[in-house]
Amino acid sequence: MFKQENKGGNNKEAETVIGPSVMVKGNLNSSGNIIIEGILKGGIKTAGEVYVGDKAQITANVEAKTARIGGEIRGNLNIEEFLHISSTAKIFGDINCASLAVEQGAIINGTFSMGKEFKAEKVEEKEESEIEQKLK
Amino acid sequence: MYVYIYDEFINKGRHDKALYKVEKRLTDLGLNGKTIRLGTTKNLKSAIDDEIRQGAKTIVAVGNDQTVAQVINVIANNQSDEKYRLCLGIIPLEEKENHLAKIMGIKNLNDACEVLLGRRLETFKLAAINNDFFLFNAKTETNNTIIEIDKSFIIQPTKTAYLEINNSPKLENPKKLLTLKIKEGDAESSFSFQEMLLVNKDVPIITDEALPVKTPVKIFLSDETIKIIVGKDRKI
Repeated sequence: MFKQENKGGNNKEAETVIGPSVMVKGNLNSSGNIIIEGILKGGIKTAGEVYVGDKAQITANVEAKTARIGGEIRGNLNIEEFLHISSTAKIFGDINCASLAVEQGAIINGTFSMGKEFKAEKVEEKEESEIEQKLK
Repeated sequence: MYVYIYDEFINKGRHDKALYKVEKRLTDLGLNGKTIRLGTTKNLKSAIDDEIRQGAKTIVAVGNDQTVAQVINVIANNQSDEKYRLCLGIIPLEEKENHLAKIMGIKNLNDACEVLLGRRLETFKLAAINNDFFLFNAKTETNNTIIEIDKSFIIQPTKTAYLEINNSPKLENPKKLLTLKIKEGDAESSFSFQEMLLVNKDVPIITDEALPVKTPVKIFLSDETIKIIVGKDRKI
């Protein structure tokens, strides 16, 4: 896991590193950890961790096990476990995670939903509405 | 039988003394064999294909990185099954341009003869670049380069930087992926992939420090392997 005190992320542990001089367009699917310091437009999906550096610019939905966000994200965050939002972060999108830490100064524009129970409720609600529709 | 392929640049006479010593040492060790001198009339591909057909067991590239890289390509591109019985030996003639020999644990000319005698064999996986192959890496400048990875995303470096694609050629290496590194000063990007398309209209991509390949190129892990005679001090 990326250590919280390690602000640069840990390149050795990461399977994918997008450096500050690189722009990526498309869907990044990975089973390992991802570090983003540059620009990404598309989507991120990983079973590992995502570290978004202070100067990173992301226009994408992010799905990950855990994440630490320091840069700008335009898209929804769906984090299975822990999400850390640093003071430099700017998030324009909805956030769903199991546990959360937000530093003073972070800018967040979007809705929050937390806990696994919430996801289960949402699924149940969807299933119920589908059943109701079928019955009609 | 040993077949020694002498690269064309050797014919210019600058290496005569060194070659004389090597040939004498090889004879003393009982490793003498057929010598093929490449030149305007003798083409590397036809020479090696002929020798494979005639049952050569060991082909020794005498020259530099470019010689070794070219011989690897010709062997890997040979269509017959006989090539899998073949071993590649290396005799490095120039200190500077012999990175591959050094990685294989062959420090100098004398060492090369002892390594051939030891016949310690290691099988390596090759990576493919279009219809050719490389053992360790492919490098280029990233200015104006566009890279597509596994048909799922495109990478565009925003500044001039160096790009390096690495193969982990050891057979026992469980990682069935190639890696891409983009270096710009202290900053580095890295990606793992199975297949890459790369376009750079300005500069070619250089494989194994020796062979330039014009882009666009498709780079992927191939099923081809090659047996190389290595020294005990190999760095791989």
